[in-house]
Amino acid sequence: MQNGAAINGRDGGTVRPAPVPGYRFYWQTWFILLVLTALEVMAVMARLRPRLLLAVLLALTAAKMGYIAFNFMHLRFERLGLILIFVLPFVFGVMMYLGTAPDFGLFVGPTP
Amino acid sequence: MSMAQTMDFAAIERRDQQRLRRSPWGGGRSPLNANTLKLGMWIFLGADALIFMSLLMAYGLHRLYNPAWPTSEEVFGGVTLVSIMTFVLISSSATMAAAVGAAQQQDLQATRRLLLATIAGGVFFLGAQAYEWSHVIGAGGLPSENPWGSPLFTASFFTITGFHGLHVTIGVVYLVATLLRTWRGHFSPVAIEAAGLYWHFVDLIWVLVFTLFYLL
Repeated sequence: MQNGAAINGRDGGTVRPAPVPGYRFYWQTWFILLVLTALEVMAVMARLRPRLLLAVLLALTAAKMGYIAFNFMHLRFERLGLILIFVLPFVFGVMMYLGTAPDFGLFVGPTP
Repeated sequence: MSMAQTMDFAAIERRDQQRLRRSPWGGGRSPLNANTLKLGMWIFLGADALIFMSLLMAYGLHRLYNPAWPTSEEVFGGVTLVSIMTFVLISSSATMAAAVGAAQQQDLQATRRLLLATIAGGVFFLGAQAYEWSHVIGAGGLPSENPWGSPLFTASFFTITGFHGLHVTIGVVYLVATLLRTWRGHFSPVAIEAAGLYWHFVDLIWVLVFTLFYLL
């Protein structure tokens, strides 16, 4: 299929197809993901201080999830509305956690 | 109902169509400029993400509240096996992305080969997970019992990795069905893209589980 050609959706409406990236794009993403995973394992083996380790691991995990969603799942070629359908549940999850965690002593000192 | 009113309805529908096409939701009957199959898969994945996030949130809160939480080194004896599992799942995600790319270029043979590689990765992952489960169960770990500390650890471990493993199993079945359908004359890039979205989602959730359960 040529890039930019219209295809028929099941509902009969015409849909503009997403741009088709080459294999190179996927292998690059794969390589980046492996490097980030290796960094995660190295951070654990280096026995960083717990808070630093938490920050490093969460940042690397968020980066990996972003690469998977935006490159492998082509979210970078989609409209904002579609991106929000998928990204918002994760934002809600984090909000739910941060809203509940104080009751469990995360921000107010040691647990009983 | 008179003829004139029927005509009016048709005119209203046309006008609505035109208004929709001009709006940010354009694409006429296809909102978000996505095929309905693909859009349906995205909405499902958004809902599924909420389920996973609530499970992981519950896990995080249990962990905060329980000082007797075992380290992953005590339970799993290091991160070698799980790192290999992560490597395989990420690689299978890459072959799946390449399969979608091949399908969009109408390259049937490459699509089949890459789908097969993805399925092999999924089956390896499931085997490794079964091995790990048998190790934990063999050491006396059950959802209600944990020889290393709080039973909430094993409860969340079996619930979350089990729920994820169920997703991998369904994903393997889905990919096998997609592969078999190519021999029956069903070769649609959009259908393969939707299967790919599901598979990448399983990988994306594993990235979270890997960090939260095994590394932290």
